[in-house]
Amino acid sequence: MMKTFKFFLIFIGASFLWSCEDVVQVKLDEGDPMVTIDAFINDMQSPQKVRLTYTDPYFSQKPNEPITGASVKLKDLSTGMDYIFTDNSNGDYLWTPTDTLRVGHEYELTVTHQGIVYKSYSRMNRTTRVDSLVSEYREGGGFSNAEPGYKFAFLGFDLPGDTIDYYWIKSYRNGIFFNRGGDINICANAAYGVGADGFPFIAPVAESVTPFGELFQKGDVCRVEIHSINLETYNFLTQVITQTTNSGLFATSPENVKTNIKNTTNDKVKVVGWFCMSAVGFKEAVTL
Amino acid sequence: MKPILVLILTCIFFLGKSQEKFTISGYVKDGNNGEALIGVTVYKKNSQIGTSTNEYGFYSLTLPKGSDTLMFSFVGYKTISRAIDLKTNQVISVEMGVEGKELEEVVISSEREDQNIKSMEMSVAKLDIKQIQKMPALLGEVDIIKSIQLLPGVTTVGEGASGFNVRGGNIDQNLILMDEAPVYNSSHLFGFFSIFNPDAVKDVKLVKGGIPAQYGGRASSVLDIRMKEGNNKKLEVNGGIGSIFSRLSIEAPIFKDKASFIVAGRRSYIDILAKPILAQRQPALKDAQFYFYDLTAKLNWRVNEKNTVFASGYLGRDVFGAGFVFNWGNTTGTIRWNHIFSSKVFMNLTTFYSNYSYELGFKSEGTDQKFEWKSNIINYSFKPDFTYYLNNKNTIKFGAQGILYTFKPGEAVITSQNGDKSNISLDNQYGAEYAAYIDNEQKLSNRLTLQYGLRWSFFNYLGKGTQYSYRDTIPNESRPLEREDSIAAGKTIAMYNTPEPRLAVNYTIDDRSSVKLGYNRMSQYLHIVSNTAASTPLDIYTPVTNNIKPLISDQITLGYFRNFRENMFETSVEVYYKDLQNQLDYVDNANLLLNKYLESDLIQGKGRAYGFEVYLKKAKGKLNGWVSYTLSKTERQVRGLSNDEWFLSKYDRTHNVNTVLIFDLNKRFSFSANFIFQTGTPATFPTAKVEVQGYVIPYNTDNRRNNYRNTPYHRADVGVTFNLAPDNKKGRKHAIVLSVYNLYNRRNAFSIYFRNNPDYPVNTEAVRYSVVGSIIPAITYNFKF
Repeated sequence: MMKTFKFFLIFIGASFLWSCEDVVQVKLDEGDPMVTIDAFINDMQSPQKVRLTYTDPYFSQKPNEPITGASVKLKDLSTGMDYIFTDNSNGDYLWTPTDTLRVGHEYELTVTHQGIVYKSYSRMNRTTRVDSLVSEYREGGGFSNAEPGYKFAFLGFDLPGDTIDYYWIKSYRNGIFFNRGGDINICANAAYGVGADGFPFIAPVAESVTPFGELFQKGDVCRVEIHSINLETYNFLTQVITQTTNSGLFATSPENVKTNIKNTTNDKVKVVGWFCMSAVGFKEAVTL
Repeated sequence: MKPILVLILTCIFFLGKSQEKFTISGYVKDGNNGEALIGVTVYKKNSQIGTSTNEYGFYSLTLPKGSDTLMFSFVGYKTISRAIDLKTNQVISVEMGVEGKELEEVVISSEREDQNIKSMEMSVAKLDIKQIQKMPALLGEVDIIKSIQLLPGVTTVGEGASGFNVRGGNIDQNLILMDEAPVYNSSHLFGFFSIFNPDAVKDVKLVKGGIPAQYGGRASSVLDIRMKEGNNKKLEVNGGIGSIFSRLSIEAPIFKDKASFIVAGRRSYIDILAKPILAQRQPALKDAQFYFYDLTAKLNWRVNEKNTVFASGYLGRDVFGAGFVFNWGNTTGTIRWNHIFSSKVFMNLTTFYSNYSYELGFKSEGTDQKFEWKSNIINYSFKPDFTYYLNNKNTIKFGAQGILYTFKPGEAVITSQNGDKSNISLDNQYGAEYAAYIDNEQKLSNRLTLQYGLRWSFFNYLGKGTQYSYRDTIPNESRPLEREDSIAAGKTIAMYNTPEPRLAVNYTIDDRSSVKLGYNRMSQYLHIVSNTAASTPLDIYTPVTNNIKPLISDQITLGYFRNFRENMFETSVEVYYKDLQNQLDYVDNANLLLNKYLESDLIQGKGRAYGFEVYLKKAKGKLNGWVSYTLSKTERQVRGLSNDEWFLSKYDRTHNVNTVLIFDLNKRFSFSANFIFQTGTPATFPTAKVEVQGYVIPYNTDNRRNNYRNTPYHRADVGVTFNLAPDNKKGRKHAIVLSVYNLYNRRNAFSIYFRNNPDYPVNTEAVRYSVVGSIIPAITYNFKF
């Protein structure tokens, strides 16, 4: 909701006043490299990836440097089974599951690199399914000056229950993930914050699968996945949204995103990144 | 605190007794329209004995028996002299005429315009509404808050930001009083325009330091705005057609010299102008609403010599909508009663109601699905204030105030497609604030005057509500909930009290110069909850609770004041140091909206601000205006933030230069110009990038807040006022005001943020966001008849 709302504020602030934005040169200090562990693992039958990199100075203008030669292990604490990810020598560590990950199980991630052991824990929460995908023709134009096309939305219901379910709704056009920070579509139950338990997903959530200015054309495939996450991951992704779209009159003080990964060997080497286990419900549709 | 009380009482007790004396009292008004004049100097000719009129135009002066001459002097008005023969207490009310107009009184040349030297007030800026009206303004809209921002010691985070920062205080630390009722949000359209209609404003005073005991409730400053009472001589209509607003005010006597009223309204009309264009180009927005309006009304009735009653009200709202509803605004109502108990005792009794509210709603077209959210802060207050003009050496003020608060942080309901409702409202919060004060202004000698006082304030955080208890955790993490307790209506959840000593010393060196010292402690029992660069209309206020402590500020100010060339030039140099305790800050990723566990995300820390202010004002002549320079530093220290070290606050500006020049060429033309230079605001910039799930996230590996600064802010504006009817006998006026804001088209950075290049996501870049990125010319037509 805050995302939508912030957009309205920016729109109001910008539309009939004289604000402008331009790219400027700024000289920044260069921070020391930090180990980054990017581990979002789900129960789909596709290859699962943990990516290890070093942070780079902000203006390095190249992808962050991969870390190779580390060992990555996922342990199901409920069954005691270990799953080993293999080093792909490009920072990616891969493993293909065969119906092995279970909702409700607790998982431990262990990354060992240069004698330092990093650990993190995550439980795989339940998820809900995408009932259907609907599309609607849009004239285009508007603020974004988009081409005319089809706007997709999904229909689905939050799972009723005492605890709040958190979801990350990921959408793809022709297999390409909409990956702008501002497009991260997360919700708590069927809305934002508390309430809306067991409701159909509210319009801002359901319609955000088509990001602003990104309409679908005939023949395009829309894929929507509902990933279960937990409160900590919801908060982390909220922070990612804020820190990657922190502009305008109502920007917040920039802050560092949190991490749920710990260096268990010493206090000296700092680590960033996130570990989350998700169950996924998904659906695809072709634009007709 | 006891010693201070004893000291006050002792000082009052030892007030010398001498020959037989009588008291002269009365009101001073503008002869042209009957408006009470505030701050008129009333004194015995050729002596140091004198006083000045209060906010209601009342004065009281005690003099020895016998014949004398009484002088009334006020900048811009003809000085009046009155022969008196004191044998008994007398009432002398006078009406003063504007310079250049003949009234029946004798005009004399010796003027008393050294008020800035002689008065107790320091760190005070009074803005003349006539001067504000001549200054160049954004889009030609005369704006009180924008004018305040041109004074030394006052900063803002940038254009479009609501409110202002005084000597390192946050925007919620200013007590903004409109006819004694507090205003919570002083802005229209975020921060572009202020809510005060200049046609209805009579007097503007900003007090930054040495704040007397009669004021309390906010930590940093008082902005005391007095509205006009309404012309009680004849019908007067003022108005204007501007680029943003159209204004109209009507004032007239109900009973001549007895009762009058003023009604003033403004409405923006961009929406009306834009409608046909939108209908054509953006059909989706053809029903868009965006406008703001305000209405000010006031009634006064002089019942008799001893009683005057005022009723005033304000209603203002900003409305936006386009598939969503979003509106906010203030409503205030004040009733005041001035009563003169005797020639020496004046009372003002104020009761007010103030309500700030906002509403936000989204609706999904064609379904029942919607989200509605409302929030309010409601105050009721009762405030008697007394002034006892004991003798010509002591003026004692005392009084009390009670305020009842109802905070409605959020009434929110989600409705699903099939009509199911989910209520996610937050509990209301209740509080009661009380204060009592006593203050004495004592003339120890011709050179030395003291003003000392004590205010004692109390706050009760009351049920009905929920008391949340949290466990401690590592700093900068949300505190985990320990327990929730339901508290019955009217039961105290938390209680605070603060003794607030105040002191001001004026040592007059000679007729042209003085040294002043001020100290004040202020407490504040409510905090704005906002972690954005500019405050949004959605920011809620929270009272102090069992988890949130009151904000306490201590400020000491020292100043040297000197006038040159027969008071043609007024100069002052001031230094200040301010210490702040329990300033509100936020844990990382705090959730401030509709969060019932909000308090777990709040942290409190220390603040300090110090600075040096120089002010040079040319008060008279064809060319007038001021130049000010401020050198200052504002810092915070909060456990868990920025490695626990002191960091610059977001409104810290090292250098701040303001120049305002007005040149009255002749009756027809006047020109004005502003120039502003300010050090850029502090900013936190990244030193590294983190990649997670394909997102490139800026990261500061040193974890230091505000480690950089945005580029300096500077801007020049010019304006010209062209009077179309300079010599109209009936006092009619027509004027065209042309103004150019941001004359040399500078793109001042409001902020610099970091992002991936939209076309080449692997490239990272810094983007400057300028709120005003072009020259803004404007034309306004003003009239008066």
